[in-house]
Amino acid sequence: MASPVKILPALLCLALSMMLTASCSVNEIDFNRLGDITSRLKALRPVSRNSEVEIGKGVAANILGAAPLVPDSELQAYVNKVGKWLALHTDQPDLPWRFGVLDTDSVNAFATPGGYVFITRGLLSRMHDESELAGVLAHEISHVLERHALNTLRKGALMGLAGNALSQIADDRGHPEYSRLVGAGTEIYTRGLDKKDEFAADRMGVVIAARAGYDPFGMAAVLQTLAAINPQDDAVALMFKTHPDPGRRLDLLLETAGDRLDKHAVQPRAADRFAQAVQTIK
Amino acid sequence: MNRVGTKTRFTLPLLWVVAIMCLGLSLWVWAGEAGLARTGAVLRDAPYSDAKMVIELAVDSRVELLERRGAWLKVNAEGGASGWVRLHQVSLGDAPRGKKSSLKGLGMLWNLGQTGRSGASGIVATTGIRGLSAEDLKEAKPDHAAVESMETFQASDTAARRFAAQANLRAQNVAFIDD
Repeated sequence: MASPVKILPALLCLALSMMLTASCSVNEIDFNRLGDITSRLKALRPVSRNSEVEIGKGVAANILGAAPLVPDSELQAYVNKVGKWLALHTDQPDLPWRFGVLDTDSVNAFATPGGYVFITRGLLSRMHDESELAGVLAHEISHVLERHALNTLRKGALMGLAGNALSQIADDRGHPEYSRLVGAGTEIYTRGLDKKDEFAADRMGVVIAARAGYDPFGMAAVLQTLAAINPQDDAVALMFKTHPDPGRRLDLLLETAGDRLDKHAVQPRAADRFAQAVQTIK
Repeated sequence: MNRVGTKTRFTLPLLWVVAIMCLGLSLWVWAGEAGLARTGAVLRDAPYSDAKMVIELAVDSRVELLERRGAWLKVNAEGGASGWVRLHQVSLGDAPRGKKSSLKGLGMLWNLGQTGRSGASGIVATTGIRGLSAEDLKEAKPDHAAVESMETFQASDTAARRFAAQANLRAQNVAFIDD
């Protein structure tokens, strides 16, 4: 889809010309109607990077309010190194990427707008090697790059809010609408993203992992593990509610990837380093 | 004073012990994990789709997982054959996909393979784990201090590159996959 920036002038011209033909005479252009159209079109203007990060910080604060960080600074530093290395192979390496392991048995991962990425201890402890960690982080990174959560937020509770109004709220924690905005942002994680966003992040994540030099199918191995867990298990309840069936995701991922990434399969999985790093949570 | 000398006497053998343990650990990663063959699972002699077929695996027949390479798993099949099968052609655990095995079973298998113990906290209960629920998220009180604390752990670009080099992770040119 063409970028809103390119569409805007064309649509403005179209709107103007339609109004010109609709009005009785050239001297009676309805400037009020013109104003309405442009302010609706302003909603297509992207949210600034700064506001994106501010929204993300707010949502991250809620996530951390629900589950704290695992109190193991070496583990946190390790996950940040994997995450940052992956982020260097994306088109937004300069986002303030921050990675954290949440201290909960539940199996899940979250990414906020602006680059706060979380993975739970429960999920991490079920992994076999660093390429699986990289796979999940790359999937989450893809959500951030494609602004899946941000777009969902803008379509949902705050539908119709123009880009600059959204920024005004996000940038001001004291704003009366701030907690509603961040609350809506947090609620996305209880409802889940569009299925096609999840499939898209699966496809994009394996490529980012491959670009970073990992065996690209770490995520596939994680999906295989998830597919074997009883969906009734408390630990996976939220994740299963908010994501498509992992078995379906795995089949789709491998079908779509075909053998395109197979030549990268000999790339490292760093199992030893991973085992050392996660000792304390096993 | 020979303190340095005493240190190296013990450090070198210790390094060997650690190195051997790490090697053993990497071989153990998948060991002990089992699965069932799904419909159409084919065992090949190498991890490539055009590699020679060894046998077709019977649906729901048991396989023992040895290692993963990319989207392929090296397995020992029932009857003694071994080879490579595509990842999604095997369902993990003791129940076919669609009938899920318990988390407990998997958790124990994994821990057993890794450490020989049933886990640091003993047997993992399958119900009653207080997971991160939707309610927990909705009712959470924001913890801004915790967000700030994440700054401490962030990795610099240099640190990330050094970290990558240590595991031989080299940047690759790879095209995105269209849907």
